[in-house]
Amino acid sequence: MFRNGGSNNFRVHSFHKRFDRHSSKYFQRPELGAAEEMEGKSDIDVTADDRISKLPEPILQHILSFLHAKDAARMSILSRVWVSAWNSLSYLNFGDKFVSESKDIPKLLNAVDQALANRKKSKISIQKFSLKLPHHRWLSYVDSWITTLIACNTKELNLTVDRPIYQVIRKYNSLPHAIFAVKELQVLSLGGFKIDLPAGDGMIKLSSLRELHLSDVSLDEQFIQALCSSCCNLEDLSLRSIVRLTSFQVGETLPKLKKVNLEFCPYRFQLVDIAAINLEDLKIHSLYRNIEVVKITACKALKSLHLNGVDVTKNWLEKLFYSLQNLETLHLANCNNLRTTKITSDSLKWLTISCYNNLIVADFDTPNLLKFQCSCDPLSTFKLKASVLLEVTLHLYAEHGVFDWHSKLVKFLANFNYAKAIELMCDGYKEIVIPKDLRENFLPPLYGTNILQVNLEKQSSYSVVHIIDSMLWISPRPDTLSFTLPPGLKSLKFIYKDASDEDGKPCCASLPWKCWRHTLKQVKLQNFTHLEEEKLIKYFFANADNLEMVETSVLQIVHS
Amino acid sequence: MASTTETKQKKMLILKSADNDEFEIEESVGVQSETIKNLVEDGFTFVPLPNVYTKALIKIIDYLKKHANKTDSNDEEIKTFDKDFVNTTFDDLFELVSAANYLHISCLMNMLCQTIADRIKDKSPEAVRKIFHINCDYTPEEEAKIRKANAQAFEGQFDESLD
Repeated sequence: MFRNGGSNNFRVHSFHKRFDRHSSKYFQRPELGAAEEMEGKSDIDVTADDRISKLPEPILQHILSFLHAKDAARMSILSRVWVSAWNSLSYLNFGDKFVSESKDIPKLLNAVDQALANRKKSKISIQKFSLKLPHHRWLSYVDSWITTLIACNTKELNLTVDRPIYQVIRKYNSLPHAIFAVKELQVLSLGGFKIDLPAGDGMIKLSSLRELHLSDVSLDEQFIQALCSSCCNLEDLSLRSIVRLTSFQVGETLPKLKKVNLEFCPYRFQLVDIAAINLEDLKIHSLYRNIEVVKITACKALKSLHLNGVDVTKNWLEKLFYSLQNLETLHLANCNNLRTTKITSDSLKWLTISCYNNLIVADFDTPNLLKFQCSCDPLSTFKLKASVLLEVTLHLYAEHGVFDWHSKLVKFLANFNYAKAIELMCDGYKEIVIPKDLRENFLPPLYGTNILQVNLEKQSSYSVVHIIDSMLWISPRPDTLSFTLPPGLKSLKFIYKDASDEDGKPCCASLPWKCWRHTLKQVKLQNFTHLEEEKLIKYFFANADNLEMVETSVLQIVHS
Repeated sequence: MASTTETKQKKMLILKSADNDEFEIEESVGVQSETIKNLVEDGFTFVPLPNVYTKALIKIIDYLKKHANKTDSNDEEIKTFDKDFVNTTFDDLFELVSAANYLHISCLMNMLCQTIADRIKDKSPEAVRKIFHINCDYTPEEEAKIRKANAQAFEGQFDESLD
């Protein structure tokens, strides 16, 4: 039977209780229905049908393609259907689940050898071959495998060989040049090699190549040039931990290029110049160079930009947004010299900034912004223009000894008063519990917010009542308050009296309308412990004038 | 039947299951299936699916609708939906995987095959036999031969549990 939204991995028990102001009686109605409706997951039944073996072979092979080759080969012992599926399987993943003892490696090499030889013999095209070799000693095998892989029209090749150590220095393995002539190859991932262009014409003939991922590799500018001139179908280029390379220039010869990653390249870059007209996604990580060498403003189609550990400056960003009118996502992290920033963009929808203590002044004129995520100290000078649907996530780290940290926080939070939902991530509780004396001097910063969530990383000595009391000061009339504290999410939902009932008397929090203390009708508590429930019920009945009922429910999720 | 597509602004399609139930869906939802896309490109608005039964089709339409509305912000929601979607019996999974294969919905196909593969991963052949009720049809000699040919695959410790 098909069910929607059912969950078999979990058993869900839900208990509801209601507490009335005038009576201590409560109803309890355990709702076990959900659990009982569920069927047992594949209870072992000897009479049951062997349905998996009746699937057509291509589907069975599709399933096997997600397994390590060792697992897939082992299943050949199940029955004739399975041995046939394995013998013609065109996905061979000898990936990273590797024998750790070197005495077992020859057996594995033998298994790879055999699997390839069988496929060559039966003229089976290889869709995907993945291998991570834990020692360069067996590199000579790789040469002969590549010859077989070429013969089998391999479409995707992932090959990593651990780098040899000579006299304390890690060297790179030399890459068999035959690899550059595999015309059918669409996806190539290499790790641990030194890549030189083939002697002779120095040409790469990978005309079908769509994706190239190089990691822990040594190469130079000539390789990038050769790539640009011959791999006109390239869509995705990723370079990670590349040595020797000191400039990266990609021009208009790669019209299909959509995605570029440039990460952890330790050499001093003279130039990063990307002018790929259809590039949509660019990530530059750890390039501690003068940002002026990074030229990307010709990538007019760019939608998403991640810069991490790059010395971005205010001017560079301004020019960027002036040129790139389609940029929707910007992630800035560890941009340590960015002290002031101004961004003006109609296209920007998602902005993430984690610059910790350096950023002081920020001005974002981004009327269509939907997501703003920030982890830095409360900014003293901050301006934000964003969509009414804005969702905000702030990481807060209260520094020791900064005595006015909380007042800075309250001022900073006020900038997000009209956001749709706000999430505050804190190390502990001290960030979120605003001192009482401060509360008298400020207006609640998020009085317009409906949804407030706090995520806490640690347990603390503060009680739940303290935290909720503070959350309700920050946001005095929310629909939902919730907080996560490992392992789960606790939440409170609030129902208020109609606005028409309001009597026009001023509110205690000096707000233009009444806070929860006067208007709260009903509270629903979810996932609190009995002790917490008791304290909260007491708290709410003591502080809310018109509260009629508190309802509690516990959703226990038990892994079965 | 084909004329009903004119009644709404959005282009609609009618899918007919193997047990003759008809479902109207938006064209933009349906074309996530390569099979349907090819028919739509040939001008069809009425799509008979003689290999897909109603109960699988209902679930697959749910899936297609959810994934047609993918945006930047509902990532988590879709992940939860997918997790629930594959959380079902093997009979359902096999029915769905056959349907997804016929309809050529590659992301769904990958998700379903991955789910089934996860139940085989690291297991001993005996455990896999019990989980899926697979009967061995080898003679002892054949079995020994296969074991020998793939000797490396049988080395080590395997998971004997049935979950």
